[in-house]
Amino acid sequence: MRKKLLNTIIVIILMVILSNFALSAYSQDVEFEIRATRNRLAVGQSMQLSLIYKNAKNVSTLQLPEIEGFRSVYLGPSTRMTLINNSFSSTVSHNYRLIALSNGRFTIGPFRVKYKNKEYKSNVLTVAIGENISNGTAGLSKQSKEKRLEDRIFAIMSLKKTKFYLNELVSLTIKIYADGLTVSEVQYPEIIYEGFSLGEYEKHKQYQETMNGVLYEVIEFKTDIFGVRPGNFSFGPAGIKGNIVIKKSRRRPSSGFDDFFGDDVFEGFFGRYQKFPFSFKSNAIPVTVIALPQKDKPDNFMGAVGNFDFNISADPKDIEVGDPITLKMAISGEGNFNTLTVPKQDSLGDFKVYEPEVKVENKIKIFEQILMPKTDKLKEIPRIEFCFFNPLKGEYVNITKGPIPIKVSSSEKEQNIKIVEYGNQTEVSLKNETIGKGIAYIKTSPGEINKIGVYLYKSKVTIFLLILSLGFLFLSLMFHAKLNRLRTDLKYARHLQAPRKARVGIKKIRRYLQEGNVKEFYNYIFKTLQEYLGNKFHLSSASITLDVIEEYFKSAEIKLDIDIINKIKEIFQDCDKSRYSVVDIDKNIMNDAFKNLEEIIDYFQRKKYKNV
Amino acid sequence: MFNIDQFKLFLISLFFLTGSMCFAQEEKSSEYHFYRANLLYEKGNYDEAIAEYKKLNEKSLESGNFYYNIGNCYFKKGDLGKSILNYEKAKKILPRDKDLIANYEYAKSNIEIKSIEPKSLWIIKEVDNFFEQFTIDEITKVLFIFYIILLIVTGVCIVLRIPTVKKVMVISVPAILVLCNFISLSKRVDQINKEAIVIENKIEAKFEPFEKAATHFILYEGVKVTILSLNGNWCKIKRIDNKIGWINKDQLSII
Repeated sequence: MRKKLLNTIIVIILMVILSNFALSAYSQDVEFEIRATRNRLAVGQSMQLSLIYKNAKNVSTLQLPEIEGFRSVYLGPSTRMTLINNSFSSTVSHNYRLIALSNGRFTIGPFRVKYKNKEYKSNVLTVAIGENISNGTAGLSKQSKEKRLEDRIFAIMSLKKTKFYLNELVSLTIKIYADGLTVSEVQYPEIIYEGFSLGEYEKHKQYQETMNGVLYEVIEFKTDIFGVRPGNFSFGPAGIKGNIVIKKSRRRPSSGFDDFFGDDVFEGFFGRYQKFPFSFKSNAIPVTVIALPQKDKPDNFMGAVGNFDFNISADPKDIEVGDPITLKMAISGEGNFNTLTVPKQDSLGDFKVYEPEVKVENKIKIFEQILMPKTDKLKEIPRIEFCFFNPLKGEYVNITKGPIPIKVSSSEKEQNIKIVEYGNQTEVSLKNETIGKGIAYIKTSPGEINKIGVYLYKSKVTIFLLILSLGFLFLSLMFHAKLNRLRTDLKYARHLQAPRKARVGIKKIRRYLQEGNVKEFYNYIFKTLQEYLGNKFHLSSASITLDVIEEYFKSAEIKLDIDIINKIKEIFQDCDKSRYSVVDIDKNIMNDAFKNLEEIIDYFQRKKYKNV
Repeated sequence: MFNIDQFKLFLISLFFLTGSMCFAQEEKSSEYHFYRANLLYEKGNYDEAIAEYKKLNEKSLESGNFYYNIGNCYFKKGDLGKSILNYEKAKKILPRDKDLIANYEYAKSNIEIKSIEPKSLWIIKEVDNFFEQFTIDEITKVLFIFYIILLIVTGVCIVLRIPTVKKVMVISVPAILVLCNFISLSKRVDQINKEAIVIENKIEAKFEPFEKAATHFILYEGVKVTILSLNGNWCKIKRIDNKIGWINKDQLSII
């Protein structure tokens, strides 16, 4: 039930999409042609003739005129819609069966039809009727049944020329041939083209073509290529990808073809149709790209290759200093427009020159350049040269156009208007002028161009700088306050200096420890500890003893760790011992004393005393 | 070889470089439109010239000279309201341009009824007129400079222990300048997208946002108004003399 509902929804969506495609297809150009299923047959045999209308809707049935050698029977219409590279096309065919009546070569068509008040003329087909031919075709049709897939669908790539000049544009055609297979969703061919530049593909064409007596459905892709470096190359192959749609037989497995691809892709919605992806490669083409001749190569040659015409025009020609002139340089003809650059201009020193705007229309490349005369002495726009290499003649061609005469006058218009506006200011210089009313002339330069709605006050940089400067002021004031306190508050200053001075002392003690200088070692241990404790607690350094320290902490109602008291005591005792004893002190004891000193300083640095 | 920091620096430089190159490219093409439009103006094709000038706005860019020239085109076409509108836009960018002021004044002199003077103190009018001569960015820059001066002066006063009276006097000068600039900037920022020009001739401002409501006052083409609020297709506006009314929003264009 749910599956059925889902299928219905998919059908509706696809119908809407298809109807949209159909509408877009009908808005395209209408084409009319005729196709036959065979071009050779025997008397008594028949073939199918189709009158095909591309992108046309509601085409009425054409009453076929008498065709010599045949008798015709109308079979009915058929419609086909194709989607290739997202490009949609639809065809309506009116099909007839033609029965061969007599031997000979006969032409079918051209037929004329009227569609929407416009007459369309078909192509002409030539068909041969004879006994031998019939046998041959019969043999062929039998043979085709045994054909492999590679023989039923393949691609042929061809170049108009295989030996051409550097930058010379050469037409490339890729044809996909399908024998009795319906192909859809064919992608643009992917080509390996090192050393070449590939243009955009034109809209693909679809038609029928007979090759070796077999009628193929052909999809044709066309583009242009040009070589970007000289040498011998292999161009291609082109990779082709798409889908083959085949009608599924009710008996399974129906054929070797089905076995090859496997089954069932669109089971359900499409029911009796299956879609199989295919990919194969076309042939590669050996190509020689010839370097452009160095002999007689003009200095102004910029790489243009083809057969071109060159024209220039300027507007306006009667101007004032600072007014813009539009110089139009048009290059038309056949050739490589991709490599066309702005033609070489003689010195334009007295003009302000702007970058040209480039437009490419149907086989015409136009460079529109704005020139602004700087002085009224200019009489002309200097001549312009365009040089190109003609690959057909194998020679360089130089076209020179101009100079274009111009009339440049000094900028009076602007002054006049300003004079009128600022009558009071200019009365002195132009007393006899008639004072009128009007507006000042337009601006002749675009001025400063900025983004709309971008203001400095919104900028994050501005806000950051405002906050930063305020922060800087606060930091400066804090620093100033600290310096001031250091200058006036001795206790605070000594408190801050204590660890710094202790670090200096420790450095010296470490050196004496390494040297084994016992006397100086203990001398500095004692001195450093005394000085540190004196500075830290704002006491006289010279009078520091363990008793003084204990007394101080007692009066400040702070309890000291026993461990620290013992360490201080030990250091003082060791120092006394070293001074008065003649016995050598062991290095380990010295190491312990040093460690103790560091631990004491570390302890007091980490402790915060409120009453101190 | 590159380390990560150097690579980041390279990417940032590349980002700014491509950004500035893109902007430079847009500027070049804008110049092209400008000169084309000037040629069209010369030939008297004002509509085409306006369309060409407006291509700059399509790229979200603006220039005072573009607006000025559009104003001239509309003036030549006889479309006074849109002419004044574009001169107003140009004035936001080129407030001291003499040609622009002259054309703006001339265009305004052609309005059917002369603009009504705002009711406010002369000192406020003078200050407003003074700051009208600067763009928002210029006011921001000056504000920033005065702000830095204020910080330095405050810092110096604290460090040098200047007596309080002198301190107040010295600090108050940059402080007042900062305040004036700040008020002016806030006012200008507040006006963004709120000021509009009447582009239709002789329209009736209603007491209420209904077609059948009673008429409160008349507005003429080219008159500047302030948009207070929106109600569907109706705009609550304030005229320069502080009269408030409702008009259809299609009848005005935001500066």
